[in-house]
Amino acid sequence: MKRFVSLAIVLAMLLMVISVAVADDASYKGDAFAGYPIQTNETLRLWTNGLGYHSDYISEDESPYHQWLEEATGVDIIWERPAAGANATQAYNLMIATGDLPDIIYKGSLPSECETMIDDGIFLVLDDYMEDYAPSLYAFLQSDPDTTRAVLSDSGHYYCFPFIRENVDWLGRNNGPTISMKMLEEVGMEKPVTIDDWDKALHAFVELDDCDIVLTGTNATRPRSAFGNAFGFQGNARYYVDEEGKAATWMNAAGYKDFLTLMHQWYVDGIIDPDFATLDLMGFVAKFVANRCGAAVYGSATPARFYLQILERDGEWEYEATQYAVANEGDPVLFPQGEALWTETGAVITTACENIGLAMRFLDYGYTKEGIELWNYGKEGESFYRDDAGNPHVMDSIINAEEGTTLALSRYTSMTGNGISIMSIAWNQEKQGKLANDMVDMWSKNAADARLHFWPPVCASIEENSELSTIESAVTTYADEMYLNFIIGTESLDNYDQYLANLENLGISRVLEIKQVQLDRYNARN
Amino acid sequence: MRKNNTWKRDFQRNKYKYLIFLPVFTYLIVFCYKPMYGAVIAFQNYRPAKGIIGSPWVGLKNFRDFFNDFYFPRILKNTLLLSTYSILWGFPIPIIFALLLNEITSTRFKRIIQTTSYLPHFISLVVVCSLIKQFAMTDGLINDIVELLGGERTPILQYPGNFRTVYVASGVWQQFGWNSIIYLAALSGIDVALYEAAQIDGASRFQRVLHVTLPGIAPTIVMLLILRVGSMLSLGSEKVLLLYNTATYSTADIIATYTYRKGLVEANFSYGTAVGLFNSVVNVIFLVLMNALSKKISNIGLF
Amino acid sequence: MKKTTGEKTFDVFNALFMAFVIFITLYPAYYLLCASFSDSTELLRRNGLLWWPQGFTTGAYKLTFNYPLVKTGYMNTLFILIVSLPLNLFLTICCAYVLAARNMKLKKFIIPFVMFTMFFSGGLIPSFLNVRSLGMYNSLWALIIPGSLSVYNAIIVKTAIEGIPESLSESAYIDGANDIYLLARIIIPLITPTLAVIVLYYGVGHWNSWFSAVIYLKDNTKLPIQAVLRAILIENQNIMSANDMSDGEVNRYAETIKYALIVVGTLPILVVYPFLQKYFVKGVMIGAVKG
Repeated sequence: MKRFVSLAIVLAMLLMVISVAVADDASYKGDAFAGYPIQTNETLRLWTNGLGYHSDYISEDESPYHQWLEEATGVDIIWERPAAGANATQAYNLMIATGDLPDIIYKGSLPSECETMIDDGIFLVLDDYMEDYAPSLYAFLQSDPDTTRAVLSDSGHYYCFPFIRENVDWLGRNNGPTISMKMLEEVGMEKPVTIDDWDKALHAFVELDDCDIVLTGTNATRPRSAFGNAFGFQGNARYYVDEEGKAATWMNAAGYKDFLTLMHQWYVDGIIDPDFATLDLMGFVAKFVANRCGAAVYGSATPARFYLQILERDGEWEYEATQYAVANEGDPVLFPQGEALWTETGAVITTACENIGLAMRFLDYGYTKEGIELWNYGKEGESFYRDDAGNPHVMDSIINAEEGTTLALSRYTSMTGNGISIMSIAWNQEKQGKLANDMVDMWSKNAADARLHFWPPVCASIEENSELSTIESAVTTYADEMYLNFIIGTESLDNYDQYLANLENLGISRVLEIKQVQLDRYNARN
Repeated sequence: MRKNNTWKRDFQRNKYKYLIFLPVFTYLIVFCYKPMYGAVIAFQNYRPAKGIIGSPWVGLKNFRDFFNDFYFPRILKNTLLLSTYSILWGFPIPIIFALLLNEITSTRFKRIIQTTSYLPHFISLVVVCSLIKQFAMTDGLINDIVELLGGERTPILQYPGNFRTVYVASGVWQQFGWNSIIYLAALSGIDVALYEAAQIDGASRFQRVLHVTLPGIAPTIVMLLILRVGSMLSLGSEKVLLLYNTATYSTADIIATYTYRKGLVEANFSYGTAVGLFNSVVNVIFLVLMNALSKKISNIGLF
Repeated sequence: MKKTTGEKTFDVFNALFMAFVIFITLYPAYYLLCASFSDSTELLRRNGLLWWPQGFTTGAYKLTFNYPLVKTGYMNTLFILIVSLPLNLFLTICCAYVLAARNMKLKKFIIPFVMFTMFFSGGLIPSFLNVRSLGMYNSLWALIIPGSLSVYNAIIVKTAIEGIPESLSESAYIDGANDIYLLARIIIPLITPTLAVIVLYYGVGHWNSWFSAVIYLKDNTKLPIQAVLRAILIENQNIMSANDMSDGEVNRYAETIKYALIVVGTLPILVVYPFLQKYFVKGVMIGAVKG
């Protein structure tokens, strides 16, 4: 009996040692790592609502790029996702509430919750693991301090594997003003650069017989988005960083009144589409096709919806993008539409993950040279080919696919949306086509410094969220309403000072104060 | 001693009724009352990660935020008005339609009308609203008609004054056929002998409707009306979200849409639950009042 | 029994009015049908009433039926309907009978007990956790059992039961019947029109439901048809919003697929409805009680 007991104890100890050895991440650490594909039988659970597969496939097992990813990394992934068509936020909250956490979660809007999620013990803090287990991402972040600042938490922790755009200045720009070159010819003018040029050109368009609508856009905020820059404020996003580096908003910007005055004049003079308040994307498309427009504000992806119809109707595509209007010739464009350094989307490892080393190596793959190629282009010979210089190119059969380029690409890559990697600008330009590329080029003209003024991915504390939730809705509802009322004329611009006073009473100063605190914390990250 | 007897007698008499209620009782306990504790998150600052036990308590803060909101009076007023107009127009029309339909003699014609009348109910809200938006444009169908009648073209959905009309009218169109079904069923339950008796007494068709038909379906009407009033504040956001824009906030912004926009900033479960609780309490009050009123006037009530 | 002139005029106006009703309700459905068979690009150009498809194509329907989940969607919904409806009827009738009971001491407790659940609920997360704890996660039973009793429908049936004269039940008691016999053999046959209506309500409710499905189900192959159709719509719209400018060949059916989905989703109901209709057009004779 005694022998039995001691044997049992030895066996138990042996088992303990073995299990520890198995959980020991030493084989993934630093130079000990044997490279990809990883030799392992372990699996990782990954929960996401993104990284979707083409609708022809029933699950990830049939989807090319999911298979290639698992092959290349050597890790079998158990993909967990909400049912098709579910509300992602709801599904996420339900998953968290049940307490059954996966190993990895890939989602957006990370900064707004990262601090609380770290405190609540859901997200894993990666500081101690970055250098040893995620060398590629770590090296990339070291080389780009601005982006690093964007993806850290406010307390300076690494916590995610972010989706990065290679050149966010260009890749993040996808919206702006366009104008009809033919009509410009008819009225004998050049492409407008300053806001005065626009004023003259649009007024001239009003006189043209065959111009049905002078200025329109995909929704009511487009005029503010396109012309805010000329008046010194960012019209596309609610908050931005002004020229002094302070948190600011269009709602009470210095140049806002002048902007409204001009827009109101344009509305009265029949320049702005009378239906602009009620427009949405499909309404805009229908209008654009049914009426000849002089100028419009829309996205680089929008023309695809009506390019052919316009060609048929007019015999040519007469629209070209212009740079964002400025106040004076030669001014830089500081406040165009654009994205901050990080889209707030990324992959986090949860505290429920038992094999952290494996998870980190798996995620780090997307930031290696091969990984970036796989995430963007797919697999050589199946979705891309190499030219003589060794550069990858998307196969023509995909670009010209009958189902459309984007749908076809979605079989081989997730980058038609985002991914756990760096989006390649070469890839994007190749699949986007010349028309869209030209538009983005124009909208990026003179806008090199714009990157300093986008509202960065700040983190919010619980108290801040609580206070903001009390006052922000009223402020934004009022400002959004008055924006249209001033332009349409329901509210006279003589009452602008009253408008500012009302904003004060509703608490706009407090909102900006809180935002400033968040911005300061962001800038202090390192 | 007396008391024990009455309970015993009651159980003797009604034991099968209690038995019949047992499955219902079980269902309600397991699926309605068991999760009911979740209502407490209205008094917390709930975070899914912490669960109900771990989330901090804030007492009445969420309610105070809601009532003190600058726009609370407006969204409450808009919700009540929109609901009231919907009831005022949307409630009688299915009844009148059912009565008129009842007067059609040709069964075939009757069936055709009935079948087409509920078709709009099945057209999804998204499509209905996109069609409305399309027709309401300055160059759209509705303005075509307005111009024909001598009026001027206007961007209809831009004016706050038009919102309620568009909302209610499209709602009536979409639901009147479907809502009339229950009345048609009730009509078919009226004893034919009553009609015959009225005819013998020399009543005209109109008098027959007034004295036989209407009283025959009165309990149905009253019940549905009380229930409808009992959901006054439960106006959903979907249709308003599709039809409104910032220019029409003053009449279109209701509790559900304002709360929805608030929730876009951060998923605030507690706030949403608090608002839902407020809606429920007010709805119950309306229901009870309406029930009492109806009993006083017509002697028919829900309870 | 001759009609007066007044009555004849009324009949004429009534008929005209009904014709108008048919037009305003049938035409939009017809519009949808035309649009579903149209080409997206042609449809865009046409800014008014449709009388026939613009650029006839069955593309939207092909796209819909090619989606692998459509077949499983129909099967799942059918299963849900077949299992749910009897359960719905059972619970509803039981609840309504008790609510309509006269002379029952516990009624004072039962009525608020039942009504309370119509107004107050625990909210999404507790309900979700509750269903999960009962082992119904990722099972079609989560769509069948929770929500199988609609108090609203029970109230409708209760009102119908209350419409039956008390003398009927009294004489049944005298003849020695108990509540169960009374309910099954006498009351239910008398309220068939109302029961037909709530079968319709429950049926359409199940047919149209998708929200519970996307919360409680993990496997897409278990999704009921409306959830599937919704997923198709969302996916097609998402594709449209991605950065893309190939030579105009973006999803050609993204617009018209909306309409095709409605047709696909509604046709089965339209086919079934006439069978239910006869139950509340036939009428019921309450001749059982004589003087």
